[in-house]
Amino acid sequence: MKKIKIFRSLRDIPYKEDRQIQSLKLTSDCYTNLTLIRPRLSEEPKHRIFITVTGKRIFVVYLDENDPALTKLWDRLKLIVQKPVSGIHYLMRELKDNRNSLFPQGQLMENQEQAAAALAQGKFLIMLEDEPRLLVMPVNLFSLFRSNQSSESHWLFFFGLPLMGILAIAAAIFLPALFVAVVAYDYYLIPTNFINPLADSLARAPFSPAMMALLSGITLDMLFEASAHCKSIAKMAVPISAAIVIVLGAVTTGMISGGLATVYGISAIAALAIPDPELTRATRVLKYAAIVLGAIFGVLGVVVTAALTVAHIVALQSLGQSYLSVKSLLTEERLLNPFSLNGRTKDRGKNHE
Amino acid sequence: MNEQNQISAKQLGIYIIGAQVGVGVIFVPQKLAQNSGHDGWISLIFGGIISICAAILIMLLLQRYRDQSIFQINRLLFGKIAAVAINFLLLLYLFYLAFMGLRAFAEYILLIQADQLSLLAVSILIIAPTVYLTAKGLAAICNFSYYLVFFLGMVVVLAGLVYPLHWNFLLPVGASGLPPLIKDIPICSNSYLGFELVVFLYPMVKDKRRALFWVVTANLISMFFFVLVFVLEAGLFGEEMLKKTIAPLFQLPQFIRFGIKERLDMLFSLLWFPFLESTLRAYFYACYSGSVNLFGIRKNKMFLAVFTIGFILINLIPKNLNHFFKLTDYINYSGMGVIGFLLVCYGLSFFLERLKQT
Repeated sequence: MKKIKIFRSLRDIPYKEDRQIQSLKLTSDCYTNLTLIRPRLSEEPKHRIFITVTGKRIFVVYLDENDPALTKLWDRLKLIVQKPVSGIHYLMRELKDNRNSLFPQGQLMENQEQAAAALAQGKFLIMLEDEPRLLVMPVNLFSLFRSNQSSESHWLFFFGLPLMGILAIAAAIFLPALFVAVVAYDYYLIPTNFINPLADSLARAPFSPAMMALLSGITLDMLFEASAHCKSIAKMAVPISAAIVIVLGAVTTGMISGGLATVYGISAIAALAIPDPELTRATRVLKYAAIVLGAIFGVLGVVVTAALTVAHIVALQSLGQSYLSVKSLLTEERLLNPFSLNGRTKDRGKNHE
Repeated sequence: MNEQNQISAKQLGIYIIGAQVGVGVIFVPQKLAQNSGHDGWISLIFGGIISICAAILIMLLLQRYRDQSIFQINRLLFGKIAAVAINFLLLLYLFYLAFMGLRAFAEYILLIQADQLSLLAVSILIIAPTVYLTAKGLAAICNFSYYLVFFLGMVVVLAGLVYPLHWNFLLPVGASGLPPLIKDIPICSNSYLGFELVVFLYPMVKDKRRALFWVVTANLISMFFFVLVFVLEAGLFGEEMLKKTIAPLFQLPQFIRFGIKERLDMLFSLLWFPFLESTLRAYFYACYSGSVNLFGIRKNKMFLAVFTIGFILINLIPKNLNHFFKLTDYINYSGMGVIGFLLVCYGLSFFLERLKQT
């Protein structure tokens, strides 16, 4: 009889890419991680070990000893080791420059290649015992977008992807708010041939535009959370099917305007296009602030939210280094080939000599 | 000194550009056109050169007294009692210009956007990012301005590509003759005001050797931008229409041939909002930090809150736009007065040195 091979669940199907990624993953042993990263660098990385009160070890790996950011890191770690460190997220929160900020000031990595590239750029790797991920500090906004690319990408993507990431942040935060503000106050911004169908769909809706935007936003966030709690293949299937059902139902019954549904679709895709999960979460929260200000003050409110957000990001620091500076976009040319020679940025190299 | 308040010379230059290219660029082209027609750009260049000379002299004064702001220099030059009065007047000048920046911008927003909003609400909204950045320190303000300069460059490039300029609107060059051009220079000085802020910020600059270079460069960039905006406006609207337009800068987007063009000017002016606000930001910070230094205030955040509330309340005093426009007439005189005073200080510093030697 012919044997039929049955997969126990869809989860067991091995993907080709998955296997490749698996081979590059970090382990939960810090020494093994060190030996995995070392051959990827031209220079021997240095490391320092901190032991917390509960006996857990924290490894800090770095290349340049004279970095001023390193002294800041030592000062903070000396305080942290006096408390029981429960996990890498705790460490990440405690090492923040501005604790109240929603924006991530460190980056979690699971991949050897990415970790080595970050080290080669002069960043520090912070590893916690029994943790298969490591924390990279200091980061800036642009480096958060560059994390999941291969180091051999074309230069165009190295400058293009961060710019697209910023567009994605802007769309995720401000698009629904802009829609609300324009529809509620500044309707003369809408082209005349589009205003009729839009007004039609808005007139049928039982809620005001601001209310509609808030309710849709909350529904969308619940979908995000639901997908996070589902397991394996349901992770993708549940939100997709739910989104289709909800949007289709809401638009056909006239509960929400079709224009708003489209805007939210774009905003949701933009939020998911941001590679850093903590950054995505920040945009999800800021979205509500923008909607509320946009609903009260119109487009001016949205612009003020944008100005305040940029002001906040500009004032942020990661281990004392600027979070958003033109320099960080333009001077990472070593990133193009981080494993050549002693793969550090130019000025860092000079300091070392 | 606090690390957050230390800036490099390049950041100082950016700060000055932010202070200069602000409210002035909105209404100066119209005033120039009323006096000297399409030749306004020539007087803008004259004004720019004069402001660069004044900036160089002011920088030389500061270099004679290393690490000291004008408040301390006044104490050395005029003695303690006279210095208190002079410093207070200087603070008043900063406050006046910051106040003008806020009110002018609030009025323009109210003009452009529908008038559902009250002046108080608009003032609070406009000043919110400024107050936040002021609390975060000078370095944050300068970093913020960096991006705006980036944005400005993009606008300039776009403007050059998109607009169909009528060059014959600008011809013949020099038709108005010399007297109106010279008459225009005080009006131009209105838009170039901002470089005098260096006397308040000088102690916070880290690499002082390059400060002179960047102050001059900032003036040159502002000059280039003003001339470009004037040429764009004159080349598009023509002399006669420019004379009658209140805020010609915001009318520019109407000339872009896009599919969507209804009230694109409003979106444009709102996108310009953080940039135009930079005048307010520059003077607001200078006034705040000046008063913190002068009065030796320790509770900075408390003071900032009180200062902001007072500032917004005073901002509401002028009853209407006409009342406010009457107040703007003094900007020229006060600005030129302060610059003249700084030049006198420079002369006086030599005189006092001679006295000491003899």
